[in-house]
Parts: sequence; C-alpha cells; structure tokens
Amino acid sequence: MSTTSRTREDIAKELTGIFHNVFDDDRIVLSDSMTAADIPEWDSLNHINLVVATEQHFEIKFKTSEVAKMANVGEFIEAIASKLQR
Amino acid sequence: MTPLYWLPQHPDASGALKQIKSLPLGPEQQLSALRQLTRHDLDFVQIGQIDRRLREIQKKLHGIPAGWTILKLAILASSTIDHLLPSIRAAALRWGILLDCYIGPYNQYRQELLTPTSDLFAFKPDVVLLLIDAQEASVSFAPSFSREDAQRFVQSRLEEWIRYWTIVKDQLGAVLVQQTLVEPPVSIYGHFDNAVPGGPAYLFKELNHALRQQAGRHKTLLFDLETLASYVGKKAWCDFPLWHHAKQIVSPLLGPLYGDSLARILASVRGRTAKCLVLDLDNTLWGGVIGDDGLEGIELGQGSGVGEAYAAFQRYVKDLKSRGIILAICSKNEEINGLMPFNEHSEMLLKREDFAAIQINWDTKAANVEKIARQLKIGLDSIVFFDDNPAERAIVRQFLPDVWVPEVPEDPALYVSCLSDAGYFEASAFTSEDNERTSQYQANIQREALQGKSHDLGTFLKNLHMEMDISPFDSVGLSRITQLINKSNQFNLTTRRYTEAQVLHIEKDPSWVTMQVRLKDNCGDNGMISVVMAKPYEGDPGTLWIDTWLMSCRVLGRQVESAVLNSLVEQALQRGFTKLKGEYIPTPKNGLVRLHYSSLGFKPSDTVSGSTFWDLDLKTFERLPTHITVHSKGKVLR
Repeated sequence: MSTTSRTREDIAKELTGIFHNVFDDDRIVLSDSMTAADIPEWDSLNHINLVVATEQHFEIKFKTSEVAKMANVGEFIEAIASKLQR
Repeated sequence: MTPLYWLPQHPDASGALKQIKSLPLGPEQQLSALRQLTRHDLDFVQIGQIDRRLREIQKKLHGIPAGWTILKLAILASSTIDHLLPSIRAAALRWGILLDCYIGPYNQYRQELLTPTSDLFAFKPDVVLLLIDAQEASVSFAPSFSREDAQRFVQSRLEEWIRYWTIVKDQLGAVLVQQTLVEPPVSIYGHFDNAVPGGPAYLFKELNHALRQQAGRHKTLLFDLETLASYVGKKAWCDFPLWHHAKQIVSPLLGPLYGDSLARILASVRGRTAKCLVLDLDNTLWGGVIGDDGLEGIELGQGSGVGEAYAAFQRYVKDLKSRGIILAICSKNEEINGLMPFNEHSEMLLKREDFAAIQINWDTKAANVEKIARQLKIGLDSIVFFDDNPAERAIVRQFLPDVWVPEVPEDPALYVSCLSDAGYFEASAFTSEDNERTSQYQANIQREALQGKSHDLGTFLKNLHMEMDISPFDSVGLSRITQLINKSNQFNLTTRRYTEAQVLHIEKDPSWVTMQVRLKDNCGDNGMISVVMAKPYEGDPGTLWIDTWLMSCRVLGRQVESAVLNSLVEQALQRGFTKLKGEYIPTPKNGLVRLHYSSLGFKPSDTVSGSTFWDLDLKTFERLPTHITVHSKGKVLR
C-alpha cells in the first residue's frame, strides 16, 4: 500500500478494516468521537492489538506517550496522519 | 519473510473463516476445518479471529472428538501473557491438541505454587508453564561482585526455581516447562560485559547455563526463549515501549511464532510430533533430474555452490536419522535411475540403507506416501513430506491433509533451515533406542521376507527365536514408557495418555501392576514394544483392572499379546486376584484391537458409552501357547 498522499478519509477507511479484523466484527462503523466505551471488546489488551496492527499496516511506530493518548478514533486517525506526513 | 514462512499462504483466510461460521457444519467438522486453516501462515490478527471461532466451537463440543487430545495447561507468568493466548491455542490446534488453559493471576506464581488450596491445584494441570522473565529474575548491576558472589546469586535463584519444579512434579503430578531468560540486548561495558561477574550480561548467561544444566537433571522441559529471541534477532524481539506501556514481553506481532514454538513442546509431551521424513529425489537430494541428466549431470557435493547446498541438506537429514527420525523416499522415476546415485555417486552422503521405505515409481505421490505409512505402520500425521515441486506438495496436501507438507524454498541452500525452523520433529526426551530406530524398521522388513520363505506361521515364529524380557516400570525405562504411552495409537486398548510425571507416580504406587516388555529375536533387538498398567478395580478388590495395554505394531502377529497375558495372569494370581477386567475404548485408529480381549479368551461383560468391558476368570485360565521365551524380572510381589 502506498504511504504517500493518503487523505484523512483514506486513513479512516483502512483503519475501519483493521477494526473489523481485530474485533472480528464487520459491522463496526468508525466515527471520530468513538471511544473504547462504544465497543465492548475494546479493552486494554485489544487496544495494544489495535496499535500494533495499525503500526504494521501503515509501517509506522508510535511513541510510548502516544499510545496512552489515543483515547478516541479521531485522535487515532490524527496520530496516524501526523506520522505519515513526516 | 513472515515468521512462519514454511506454512503455505492462504488465498483468503477471512473468507474461509466466515465460511466455517456460516456453513451448516457440526462442531467437530468446524474444528477440523479450523485446524486446516491454522496450518497456514497467518498473522496475529487472523489468529485472533481463529481463536474466537475456536472458543465458540469448544463450547458446543460434547466430549473430545475422535483423533483429538485435550491438554490442561496452567500458565504462571511474571508478565502479561493474555495477548499470546490466541496464538498458543491456535498453534496447539495445528497439532490436534485442544487446550484447556488456566492463567495464574499476574505475577503471583509463588503464592499459587506454595498454596495447595490455590486455584492452580484445583485445576489439576497436565503441564505447568512457568514464565519467569528476565525482568523478574532480580538481576541488577553489582559492579563489586566477585565470581563467587555471582555463583552464589545464581545458585540462590536456581534453588528457588527447583523448589517450584519439585512441587509441580510431586504434588501436581504435572510436567513443568520453564522458559529460559532472554538476555537483554543492553550493554554496560560493551564487549567487556562478559568479563564482569556483577554485570547483567554475565549474570544472565550464568543463569541460563544453570537452568539448562539443572533442567535435564530434574526432568524439567525448557522453553528456550533465549534461543528463540536470538533467532528473531534481539532488536526485533525487544519492544521496549510495549513493555513499559503494557508489561508485554513479547510483541503481538511475534505471537504466531511464540505460540508455534511452545505448541511443539506440548505436541511432544503428547507424542504428536512427526516421526518420519519422506523425501523426493530430483532437485531435493541432488540438483537436476537423474533420468535426464545422468550420473555426471546432477549437481551434488564439492565443486559448485548448488552441489554443496544439496550435500549440506543430506548431512542434516543424516543427522535427523541418527536421532531416530525414520527416512523414506518417494520419487517419480524409474527405480533403477532413482537408485543409481545411491549406488554409484561418490558424493552421496545418504545411503540406501538409511531409508526404511523406498517408493520410486510413477504412481501419484499421495498414493506412495500412503503406501509408506502402511509399510512402516505409522500414522499419516507423523509424516513430513519434503518435495521441491509445488504441484506434488499441493496434491499431497489435498489428498492427505494430515501429512505435514512444508513450503520448500526455491534455493536448496535454504532447505536445511526450512526443515529446522519448521520444528516438526520436536523431542522432549532422547532414549537410547531412538538412534537404532531405522535398523529396527529394516529388521522388520527382513523378518517379513523370512516369513515369506517359511511354509507356515508356526515354523516362522519358531525360527525367529524370540526372547522376551518383562519387568515392572523403573527409572531406566521411564522415558521410553512415556513415549509409547503417548505415541501408540493403533494397538492401544484405551489410548489413555500419561505424562512422565504421572508415570513416575504410578511406578512408585505399589497398588499398580506395571509391565514394560522388550523383545529380541535373531533379526535384531526390537527394544521396548509393549506396556501394561493395571490396578485393583474400584468396588471389587478381587478384580485386577487393565487401565492401559498397548503394543508397537512392529511386532504384530508374533504372539506377544499371549505371552504378556500369561505373565499378567501370573502376577495377578500371586497378588491374590481372581479376575482380570479389560476395557476397549474405540478411536478412529484402534479398530485393530476391537476384539483383542475376545481373542485372548475374555468374556464380554458390559458396554458403556461405546467402550466395551471384558472379564477373564483366573481360576479356569490356561496358559496360552507361544514361541517366545520369557524372562521376568519381578519386584517382590505382594
């Protein structure tokens, strides 16, 4: 997958696929305000799985401080976008 | 390269998963379909999905499906392990093992082991996995340490661990698996680290060295995480952000490899690892096609890189043979051409006599692999098929899904590492009989030839001059007894599996009657070929109940069963029993012994949920005639 010129929408779309696989549920529709409270299986364990699967997919690496900060989907997308711009 | 690169890629794993869910299959069929899926190269997210499906299916299962085994695994860890569980369960599934897992509370392994009322004890595990990480080993930098100080430190750590090993073996009757410590890739002095006794590098090396030495002595199995981490590369292995954030020592990305590596040990404890390597010839043992290129045209040995790569592969295969792996050939060739290099090529390291079975013809490889399995009397699931041709691999996978078929790399220089990395032949013990295995199988083929020459079976058996040695279980036989208990499928009346620790318990318990049986004849030594375990029947102390009776199929039709029964009856009478009770539990593999007890003169007594029970009245029993001379070394019988 090309890492250049992804729009915010592209990232959201690819992230949706990751959510579907990690939570094994194709019905999940992402929104910026969505948090762990909205997906019953989004616990600390799956949070790490999400982070690692995202890192692998986009070929990026989050810092320890960033992993803790990504509280909702909007922030997740922002974090990915800022990594990809660099 | 993906971590499990020797497994084939799946064109559409997600689709296959959805199909397993949506098709109207029973839970047992779903389980088999899921197992086939785990025999592909999947990433940790896909394995997470497989594990979800597995847990759904396990809830719907009634009992253990035929051909599967269940293993109760207790995991005591000093770091977060939950994220690796899906990979561990899926990898066990690959070997046909259903895991029932107990996870001890985070970093409370001491309390769990030292309190006999703990949940761990209530769980009654078969295997206890003790995952004490480098972070937990209390290694800190002590610049003033002398060598003696370092030694004392190592000794005190080991003493604590050995105490846990003893508890697990003696009080829980379980197998203990402890991981080695991953030596952190962090330096204080640089290359000089290894010379400073108080430095972490020095201390970790000494701790691992002591672990490896003591494990052998205490029959503890090691999960060699240090070696696995080195294999991956320490830089990739150690994910420091992950450790600080989530107390995960192993990244989820490496879960599939970690699970596979661990599951091999469990498969080996359950005797499910492979026994036999079936090899193609052209472009597998040498470069080129012997039928077209001729003796001078094939590439093998000194002179070219490719030729040396094939020679290195032959050397590795020969080493596998020396440790007891049975070798066989399966090649599409004229037999005379296929065998020519063995007879005439000076660089062939493998000799014709290294192979227990040879199939060189134009039949399909699936048919030939099946023939080899029949000839050697081993299950298809204990065969590894190694062939450079992707089409042949696909055919064997399709028709014989139980056979292990690695994705052979295109470059022969990578054959050795592929076979080594795939870990099909994991062993948890090495017995002196292992390195004689091929000659035993060959002697068997000789015997069959002898049988062909004898006019009747009685003459054949008489001419064999069989000598049998029967003795109760002892420490010398322990490993081989356990191996037989866990590997025998066909001539096995009850297929009850016991770990080495459990067998040891039975050996020490005077109420059990135990027999290990060895057989020699003029074609060779068959080694230990039969195991019997019996104890007083619950509710009827006059009856001796046969819990386990198994025999190696290599000695079928030799009257071994009769000689064993004669000896068992003798021992039962000496102990004052008046009746023997046998049980037959049917499995897909043991139809051979369905009428075993009936043919020995037992009377049917009962049928309970598929199992049949059989009685033998000892007062009217008459010794069965055999052509075997029996030597018994009995302990004093009470």
